[in-house]
Amino acid sequence: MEFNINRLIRLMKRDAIVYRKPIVLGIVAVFIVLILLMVSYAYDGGFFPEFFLVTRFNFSLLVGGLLLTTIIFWEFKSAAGRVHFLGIPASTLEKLVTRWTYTFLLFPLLCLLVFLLVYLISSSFILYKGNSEVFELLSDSLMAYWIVHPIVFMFGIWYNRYVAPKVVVSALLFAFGTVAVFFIMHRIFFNELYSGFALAEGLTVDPDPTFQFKVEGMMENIARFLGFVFVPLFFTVVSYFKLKEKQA
Amino acid sequence: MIQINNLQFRYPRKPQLFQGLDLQLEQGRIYGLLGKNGTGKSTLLKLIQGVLFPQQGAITVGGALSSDRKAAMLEDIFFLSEEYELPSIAIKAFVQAYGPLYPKYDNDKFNRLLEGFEVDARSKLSELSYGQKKKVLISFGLASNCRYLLMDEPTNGLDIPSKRQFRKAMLTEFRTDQIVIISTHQIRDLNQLLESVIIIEGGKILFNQSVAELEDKLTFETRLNAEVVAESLYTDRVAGGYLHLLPNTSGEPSEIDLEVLFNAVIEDQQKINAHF
Repeated sequence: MEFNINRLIRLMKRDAIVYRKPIVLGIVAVFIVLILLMVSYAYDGGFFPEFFLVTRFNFSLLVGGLLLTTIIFWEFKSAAGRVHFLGIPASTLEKLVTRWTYTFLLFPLLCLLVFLLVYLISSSFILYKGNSEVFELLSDSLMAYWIVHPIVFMFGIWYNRYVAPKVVVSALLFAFGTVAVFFIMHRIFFNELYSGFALAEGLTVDPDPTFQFKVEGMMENIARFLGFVFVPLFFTVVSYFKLKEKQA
Repeated sequence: MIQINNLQFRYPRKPQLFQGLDLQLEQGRIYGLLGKNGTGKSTLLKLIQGVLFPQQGAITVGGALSSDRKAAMLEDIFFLSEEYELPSIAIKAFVQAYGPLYPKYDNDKFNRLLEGFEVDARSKLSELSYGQKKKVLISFGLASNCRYLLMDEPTNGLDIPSKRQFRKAMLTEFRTDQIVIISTHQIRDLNQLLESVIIIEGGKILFNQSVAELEDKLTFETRLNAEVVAESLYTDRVAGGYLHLLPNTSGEPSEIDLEVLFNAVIEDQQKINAHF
């Protein structure tokens, strides 16, 4: 794998020049939309203002960020664009890192910046319940983005056109497939709990409380590892190879 | 050097395009890649650039496998595609964006070439016609000083003075460490520019000879009447008579008619190749 920081900077400079208009328009749009939404919903009787604030942030980060991720390799939508992008004098890793940086680092940072600005300004006239709750909600959406972004990023490389709807369909198929696989596994391993495909009637479960505690802890650790380490790493590595084997 | 060994390639759900194609391209030459529509000229250029991968066989560009798309290799290849998408920015911005990506890029050369093509360097790319955009890309490609220049139909869309300017620019800017491959249908535009002629058909190389060899072995003669010339390899009707492709027995070089040569090779390549 080749990686040269100077080439990476040149590549980013090229992107900044070529896509100057959409970048400026995008940043301005994010600022305007977020500020309007946040300010308009900043206080609403009966609701927690921080909830509104964070929902706007979640919306802009998850929906906006993931939509941006689906189109970040927009050159792939045409054969001429693919020839052009793949022929740019830089390594696959450098090309991947530039687009990953825009969607995984810069866009969330931009959203955070706007959020903090609005939060700090609005704090002067709105009494928030407490910073901890706001930032807890904030970290939830950042964690969700951490997990989902690499998957969408990979699909952005894989598909050439209509990436967003294809990602939704793929995600639904994947979700249904996963549920089906888990159900079948459950049906096979816990055969005695079932009568046909339904749970057996009159079944009583009296688990050992210490066993349940242990299993819960173990499952949480496994889920954390899968979600925060395995999934992002796996899909980022797959993204690299998908880009490497991408053809015009 | 560009080396193609046992190249096999087909697009999904399409017939085989290349079946065991071998080709070696030497430095210091301008190659003309000729062939009918759909014979894979553009595909071959894309395979050389590494944006398409062979199903079997290998293509090496300066010793590097093209499908690896190493940055060092891409820095030394400029591909002028027939279809391209240029950003809606000024020429100056285009140069600022892409120039630094090519280590040997020469901005003075670019401006000189652009001036030769009579394109205003202050223009916006989106305001230029197809032919003018092509002139910008040709100028940029030559100014990039890449060792490998791949040009797909470079004269397509150029007006008559620009075609002349293109030939002039190619001849003056071409360096002996370069390999230029020009794929084209517009054979007459490339007269006196090419140093080697490659004709592909049916996924194979039908003909691959240098122009010097061509001049040495074959001659093109125009005669007024449709008289049968026993030794004629191919005859074509042209304005003012008949053009015969004959073995060169006198040793005197004649002006090569690439169109007649192309048709002669397509009609019976064995008959033509037998003279080399």
